[in-house]
Order: sequence, then structure tokens, then C-alpha cells
Amino acid sequence: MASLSLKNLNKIYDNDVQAVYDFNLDVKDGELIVLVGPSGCGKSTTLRMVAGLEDITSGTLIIDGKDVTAMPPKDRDIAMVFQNYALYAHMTVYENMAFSLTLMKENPYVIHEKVMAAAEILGLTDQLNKKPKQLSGGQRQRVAMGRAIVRTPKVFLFDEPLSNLDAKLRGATRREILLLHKRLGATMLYVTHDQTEALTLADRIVCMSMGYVQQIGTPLELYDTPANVFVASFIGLPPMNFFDALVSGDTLEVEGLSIPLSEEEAGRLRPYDGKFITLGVRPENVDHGSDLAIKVSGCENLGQTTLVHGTLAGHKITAKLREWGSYAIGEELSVSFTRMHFFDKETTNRI
Amino acid sequence: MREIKDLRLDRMRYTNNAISATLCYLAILLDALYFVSIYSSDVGNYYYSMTIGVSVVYNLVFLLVAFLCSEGVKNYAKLYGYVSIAIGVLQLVRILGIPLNAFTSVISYAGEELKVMELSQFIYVTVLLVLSAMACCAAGAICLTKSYELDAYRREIGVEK
Repeated sequence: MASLSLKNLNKIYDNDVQAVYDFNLDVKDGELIVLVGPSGCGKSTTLRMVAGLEDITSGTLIIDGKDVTAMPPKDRDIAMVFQNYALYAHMTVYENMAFSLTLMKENPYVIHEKVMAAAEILGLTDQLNKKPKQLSGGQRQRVAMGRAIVRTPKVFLFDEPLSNLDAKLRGATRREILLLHKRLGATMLYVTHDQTEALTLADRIVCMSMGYVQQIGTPLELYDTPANVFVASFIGLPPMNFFDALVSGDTLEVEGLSIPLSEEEAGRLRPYDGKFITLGVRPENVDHGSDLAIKVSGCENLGQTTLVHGTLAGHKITAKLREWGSYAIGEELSVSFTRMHFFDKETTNRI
Repeated sequence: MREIKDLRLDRMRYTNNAISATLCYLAILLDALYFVSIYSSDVGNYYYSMTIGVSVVYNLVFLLVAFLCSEGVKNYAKLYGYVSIAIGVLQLVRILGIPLNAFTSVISYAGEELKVMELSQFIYVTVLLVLSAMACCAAGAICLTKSYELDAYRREIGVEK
């Protein structure tokens, strides 16, 4: 396994569209980094630049201390797992997994041992004689992972590997990837647009938007202290509620409503006194209380929690209450905010 | 991880018997060269007989069976191992048919005595048939040997086919 360093990576296509701007990241040996962001944010392009499938317009890519920026993909010692599996339909699972080593003219008995070991790890021992079309989506993706494992590459790259799977299988395969990472201790770069995957898998998350890195941090850091409005809105399900709020001494004014601030919050917002800021409140930070009243417009029971949709001073708001509740449309629900996030209205950065 | 008792045999559980299959393909190729040599001969009207009709039909049957054998032995099917040996033996028997008869025959054509098959062609087609027979028999023998070994190994480790 190896460390990975991406320094000022830029990608500009022939039609002058810039997909990635100054991407900087240092990945430690054995770390699992998840690149997350909406479609078109440049995360797959970044991964493909690491794989060598896209030319790097400018910047440096270092794998295990060696500059591989101009090196062809086959010499980079990396393995990539694709969303659509990319298995050979006419080959059995065994042959698919052994194929890359066969091309490398590896000893057949060594290949056999490696394939059997990988199959054991992935629970594919009983499927080795089957063709890909005889397997479920999850099994096919495991074969694709097995094909990567047998090569024992320096870095594993995953390009939205779970996107083709149904919700149940996605959860199971996600856990398998996590176990695989723990077992192999491999350096992995994983691309997804699914924040749940990002939060559950990553040692660190790189959140991207419009080709720019928005924040790099642990899942908890991104959830707890989002760097800007984009990260705050992207991470967390249901997404964070946002309001325009006027800082007025020790209170926030939201469309005529007054929200009291703690001493610490008021201190943080002192430079913004008399100015508008963006107030962010996660649905799970809205709880029963007496400060504010939500006019209920819908209610979803999810078992342990209830999502209450409504309006607060004309703004849409979602509350995630830890109860099995039933609220009628039009009913008034008294709530308080247990935690608030503040963002600069102009820069959208966290205050 | 499960201990692999015999790496060579364990590998055979997941890989094809490529050598037997290749030998069958080789037998098909050699047979094709044989009949190209025979059918391109044009010595009077010697070959316009029932024998050549039977030969053509047998050639087609041989090509089909040899191809089926190639697929069968590839998957360690014992039946196809035996069939492969049988068609190999029949290739040897064929030497006694057209090649030998044609080699020993002389026909009168336009007032001229013509030898139907020269020694060089006889040797050429005989060698092709012998090699084709050897390839078929070897394919079958290798398939049978490996199949029995594989069956024994499967029994030893307690797995179904």
C-alpha cells in the first residue's frame, strides 16, 4: 500500500471547460478517502486523473513518493472498480479475477492462490465457475473488487461502485467494502454522490462542488462544522434548513420572529451585529420547545423518528423529531432550535 | 482460509482443459488439410464414385464430432474423452480407405495409363491422418486422466462437481 499526493491538480478539457480547479490532497497510507459531491462537480474526473484515464492539465500526482503525473495507467500500480463492473461476460468469475495477472504472465499457481484468497475474502468461492450474467449485481461488484484485490495494487480507486445496486444490496455491499478496507488496510479513493456512503465509509471526506474542493475533513467534521453553506446543505439527510436572519444583539430576527442566542453564539456573531447572515438548522436540531411555532404541512413517520414538514415565518422547514408522532396539516407545533449554524451571507463561509 | 491440498488439481476445478481442446482443434485442422489435398486431386474420373461421397459425409461428421469433443474435453467430460479416442482410431482406419486405394490404383484416361496418387501425396495425406489421429487420442487420454484425477480430488475435499 502507499501514500498518495495530489498537488494543484487542474483539468481543462479541449473545449476550455475546466472540470477541476487546484485540487490538493494528501492521502495517508491505508486511508480511505471519499470524494463526494453532486453530478458534474469534478470528483470522477479527479479519480480518472489519478487512474491515468484523463490527462492532467497541470499539477503533480505522487504515488508512494514517485511522480506519476505523466506515467501511463498500466505503470501506476493502481486498480479501479467501476460503476458498471466492467467484467468480461464470456469469462467465468475465476477467469475474470485471474485475467490481469495472466496478462502480467504471473505463475498460474500463484494466480490460483491469489484468486482463491480474494474469493474467500469476498465470499465468492462458490461462484468461481459462474459467468457474470449468472450473478446478482452485488456479486458482480464483488467480482470487480476481487479483480482489483488480486493485483495487490498500491491504491484502490472506486468510481461510484454501488450506484447500480438496489438500496438493500447497496447497504450490504457498503459494509463489505468497509470490512475489506479494514482487512486489507489498503489506500482507497472512493467517489460517490451519496452522502450516506461518504459518511459511513470515509476516514476523511473531500466535498466538491463546481470543480472546487469545498472542505476536507472527517465525516464528523463535515457534519458538525461544515465549512460553508454548500457543505452544510449537501451533508446531512434531510438537508439543513436555511433562513435569512438579522443579528440583533443577543437575538436573531427571522421574519419578525426572535430567536435567543447563547452567550457563545452572540459573541461569535458580534461582528455581524445589525447585518443579515444565513442561519442553518439541521432537522435533527429542531425539537419540541416554546421558542417558535411551525405550521405543519406534512408528516412522515419513519419508525424511530418523524419528519415534520412545515413553514416557519414563511420559510419551509423540516424537523426530525425522535418520536412516532402524528400531526395534522395546519396544526401549530411549538419548537426550539437545539443547535444553530451561522454562515456569512456574502461569502457563504461558516462564521 | 481453506487449505489447498493440491494446487495443480485445485486449479483444475476452475480452469478449462485447454490442452485437450487445442489438440482437438489441431486434429480438425489436419483433417481439413487432408481433404483439401484429396479433393483437389483431379485424376480422370477416379474420384467420381460412391466412395468419395461417403468420404465427404464422414469428413463432415468428423469435423462436427471433433468440435463437440473439443468442447467436451475442455470441461473434463469423460464421455467426450472416449469419443475423442474413438475418432482418433477411425482416422487411422481411414488410411486404408481412399489414400491406400488411390495409391494402388491406375486408371486409363485418354488412352493413357495414369497413377491416381503419387507416393509423395500418399505420404503427405497419411502423415496428416496419423497426426490427426494422434491429436485426437492424446486429447482424449489427457482428458480422461485429468477427469479421473479431478474426480478423486473432489471426493477427497468433499465437494460436488
